[in-house]
Amino acid sequence: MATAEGLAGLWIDKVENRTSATGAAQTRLPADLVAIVTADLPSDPALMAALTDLARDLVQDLPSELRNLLGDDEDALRSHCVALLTEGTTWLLPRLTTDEGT
Amino acid sequence: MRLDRLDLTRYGRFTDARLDFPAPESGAPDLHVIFGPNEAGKSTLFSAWLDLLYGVPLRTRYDFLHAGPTMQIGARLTHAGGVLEAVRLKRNGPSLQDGTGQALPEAVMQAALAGLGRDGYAAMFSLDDDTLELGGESILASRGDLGEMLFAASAGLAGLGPQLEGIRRDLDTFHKPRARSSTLKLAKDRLQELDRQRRDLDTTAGAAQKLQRDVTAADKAWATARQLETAADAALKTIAAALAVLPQQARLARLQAEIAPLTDLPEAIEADARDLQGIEQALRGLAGQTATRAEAMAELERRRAALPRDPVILPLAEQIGAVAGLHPLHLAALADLPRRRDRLAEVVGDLTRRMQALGLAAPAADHTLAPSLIARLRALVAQRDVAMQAVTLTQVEADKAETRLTAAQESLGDPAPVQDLQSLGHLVTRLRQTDPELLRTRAAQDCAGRDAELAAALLALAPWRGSAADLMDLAAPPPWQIAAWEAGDLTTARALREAQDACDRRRADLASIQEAIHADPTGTPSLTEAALARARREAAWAAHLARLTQDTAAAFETALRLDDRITLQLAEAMAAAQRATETALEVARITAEVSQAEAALQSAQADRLAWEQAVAGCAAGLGLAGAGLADLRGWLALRDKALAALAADDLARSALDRAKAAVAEAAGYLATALVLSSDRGLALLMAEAQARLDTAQQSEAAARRLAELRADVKERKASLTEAAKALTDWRQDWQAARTGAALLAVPDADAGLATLLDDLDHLTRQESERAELADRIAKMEDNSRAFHAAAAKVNVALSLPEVSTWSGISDRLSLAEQAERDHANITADLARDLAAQTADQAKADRLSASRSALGDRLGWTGQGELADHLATCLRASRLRRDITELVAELAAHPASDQDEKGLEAEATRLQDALTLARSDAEARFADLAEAGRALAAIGGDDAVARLTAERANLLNTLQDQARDHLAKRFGLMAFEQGLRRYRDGHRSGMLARASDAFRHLTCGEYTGLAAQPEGTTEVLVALPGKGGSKLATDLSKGTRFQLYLALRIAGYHELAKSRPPVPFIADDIMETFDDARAAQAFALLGTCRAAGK
Repeated sequence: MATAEGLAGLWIDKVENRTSATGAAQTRLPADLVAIVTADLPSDPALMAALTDLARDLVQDLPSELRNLLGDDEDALRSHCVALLTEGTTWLLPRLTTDEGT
Repeated sequence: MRLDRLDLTRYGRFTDARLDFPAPESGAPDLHVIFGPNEAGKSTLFSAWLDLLYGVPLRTRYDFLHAGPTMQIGARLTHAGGVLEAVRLKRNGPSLQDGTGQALPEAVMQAALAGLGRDGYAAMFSLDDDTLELGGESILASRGDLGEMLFAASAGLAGLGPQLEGIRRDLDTFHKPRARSSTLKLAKDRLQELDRQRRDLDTTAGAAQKLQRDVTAADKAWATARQLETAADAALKTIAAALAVLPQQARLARLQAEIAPLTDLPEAIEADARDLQGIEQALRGLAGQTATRAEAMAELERRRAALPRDPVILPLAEQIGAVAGLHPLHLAALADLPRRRDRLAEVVGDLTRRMQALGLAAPAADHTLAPSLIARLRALVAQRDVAMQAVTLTQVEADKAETRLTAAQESLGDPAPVQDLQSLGHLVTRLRQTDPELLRTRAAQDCAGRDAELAAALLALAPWRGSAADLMDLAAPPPWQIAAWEAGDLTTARALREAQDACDRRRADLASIQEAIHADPTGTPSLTEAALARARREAAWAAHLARLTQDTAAAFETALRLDDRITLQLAEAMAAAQRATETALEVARITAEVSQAEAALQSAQADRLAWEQAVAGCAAGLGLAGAGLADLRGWLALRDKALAALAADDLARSALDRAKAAVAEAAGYLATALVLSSDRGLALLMAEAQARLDTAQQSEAAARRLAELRADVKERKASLTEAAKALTDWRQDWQAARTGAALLAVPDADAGLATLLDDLDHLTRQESERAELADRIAKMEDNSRAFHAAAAKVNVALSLPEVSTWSGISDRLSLAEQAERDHANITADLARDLAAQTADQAKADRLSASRSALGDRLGWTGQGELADHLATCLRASRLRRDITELVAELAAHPASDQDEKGLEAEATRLQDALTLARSDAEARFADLAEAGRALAAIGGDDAVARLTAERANLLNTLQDQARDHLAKRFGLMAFEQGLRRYRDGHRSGMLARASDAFRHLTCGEYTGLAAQPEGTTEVLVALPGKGGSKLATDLSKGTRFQLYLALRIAGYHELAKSRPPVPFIADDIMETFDDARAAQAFALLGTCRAAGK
């Protein structure tokens, strides 16, 4: 970045910081509850249909330039939803604590 | 994990203490009760147990006896991995050791605890009065919500609700349907605003160039106008300078005429004038001060001479002061003595009358009593009344107790000796806890339910018919065969479809080519026709060259066009022949491919037919003729359910058999204990046992009642004896106290003792007041006599009569002393004024000398005032200075050739020109600014780029935020659904167990718990034994605690399914339980295999 600032006509379109935890995410929830969320529900057609509907509604509400955020067809939409579900549960589970503690 | 022994080697108040928790006999509950008074260290035990498992904290409140580094706890633990002898020290580093002092890794302890943390242990495996009360409050707070209550009691998941709600709120800030101010809505508004700004800036490049040219032209026009304005301004300034010189020349002539008569005067400066003014002001001030002071001194002399000095009385001042000190006492005595003497006479009269009333002879002082003695006598009189009343009351109570004992002996008779039925009692209690009859009933109900499920499952297999055994024997295709058929279904269908498609495509290709062959043109000219046409063209050309007429030209054109057409047709014919050759080859190739495709199609059809026959054969073998693969798969699933129902039915029958055996075994035990036959049945034997236990309990109660009444009689008689002794002691004290008061020799039971003591108290106080008044009157008379003697001595010294008024002497002394003080003050003031007069005169002399010196320097001859002379000198100096400056200025600005009128006319003209030029320049500058603004407004700067950049950044940010929002929303939705599924999966088992525990805890007053739908949730209700239902929030405080305990016990069992159990510790949880419910609580805790207090 410091070098780039000295160049005329340079256009920085986007800078992405992709970070992740160094180890496996730790959770304090019961193991069978975690298994339901991470193993069972991603293959639940009802949940995936609900997620797909939610994603479709949100995409329709985005500016036109972002309408292809989750791809151009239904297959791409479903594929994105599966990836987003994995991403969301990975984000959420370590943030929830119970009275049990460790 | 089990705790076998806990060593409190050095911890809290304990030193080398050890508690053993032996393993129970087989079948007995593993429950240990630690009983002790307050401050015995029960809570210390719990803390020590946790510190042993998880380490002693850096700051501990149990190091008050043994310092931190010396603290030590030990234990013997049994767990799945074996036996562990562990010792815990207080260390910053590794603190866990084994029994030999060797360091142990913490992982060993963590493995025994299955990863359970300290907080988790405290939350799930311990219970005290505080947590029990909090649990009761949480039942109220949850308003009976079933899921929340069950999981608050078990997995500790109740705290998830607020966390999930917080996450949901955060997500709603980005996007929420119909929200007015979400982040997404604001971003879209901003995008629209950016688009609008961009449209405003949008214009063509030509317009921008035109505006740029306008700016350049305006800039040039403005520069030209500025040059004209500057030139006009310079010319005007020159004319103005020439006009300004003319008045200065006239002023120079006037000044030179004015200074002519003053040329001889010396130079003077303004400072000389200020000096002279200061000197004369100071001289005038000094003169005024001196005169005023002289008048004041004369006044002081006059006042000093008029002072009334009295030298005779001054030496007597000390003696007069002493008399003055006695004068107020004399005056007070004169005013107070009559009143005092009257009061003395009144007191003496009262005293005489009281003495006569009491029959006493004077003097009264002989009959007074000390206040302490009166107080003691009063206290003894009060004690006499209490002691006499106590004797009376205890006598009555002793008589009543005797009466009660006699009545009880008559009604209860002589109770028989109590029979030892403790073993029978234990047996009955255990049978009530296990309740074999109920278990048998439940097992029978369960067995009937399983039978019905099996029958329904067999019926669902229609059209197949048969028994469960037939179903077991039926040869069904294995799962791998079904999987192979499913794969074959896909592959054969796809192969058949693909072969049919390939065959159809090849046939269509062949037909298309053959159709093209038939469509080829056939009217192609021959080579002869082509040569003839070429010859005709050449002939026509030759004829045309020879004649060059219109006709020859037309003939040549016709021949030429015919030749061209034939040449073109020949070329097309050659190309068509080439294509025909290629098409023939293609037809041969496609024909071969059609043959291959047809062969492949026949093969695929054969495979498909074979697959269908295999499936149909299997279905027919199962009695399902005509069923397809999907039907076969569905039937096999129903068969699996039927087999599962059959297995469950077998299990239920086994459980029923065991329950029946348990009932028979229980009946056998009871029959043996009652020495009866077991044929009577368990219910009758239980009733007989309860009757015997009730009879024994009634006999024991009667014996206990008689013993209590005898003890009461004994206690009442002892109280009577004690009251009589207290009265005797009082009489001895009374005799000793009244020895010093002979007048009180009256009977000790006399009711007038208190009144007599009051009269003697009054007599004592009146005699005291009389003595005090007599003493006061004598002292006042002494004061008056001393004053009269001293005043007489002073009068003699002043040669006055001895009886003169004392106030005149005192006033005369005050006047004499004041006159002396005034004389001294005036004399001091006169000396100070005289010194000031001398100093002022010296100062005036110095100022006069300075004034004379200034006059000499200015040439003042003494005529007129020096100030006027100085003013003339100053005027001459100023004129000379002005003339010098004016001459220098005129030299710098030479005069113009024009006269004044000519200069003024030129100035007027130039001013008009300047005004026009300035106006023009301002107009040009306005044009330039407007052109610049127009150019800037269309984006001559980077406005468009900035708008574009902001829009791109906003879209990028929005894209990231939308994706992030979706991921988090998905995670939240999945977790909430997972939580519901998790709760549903655990709820039924927990509810059944909690219901059973609650029924036992309430001794059957409540038959259990049930879930009742309310809106979208379910609430927990308790079922009273008398019928109806009661919301959990409507239970009494104690029953609510018992409900929470039941939930915790159910939660413990639920947790025990998923992790190895650890000791459960309870502390002071039964404060609000009655004895029966406390006994049930102990029994339930025993089922937890718990250790605790």
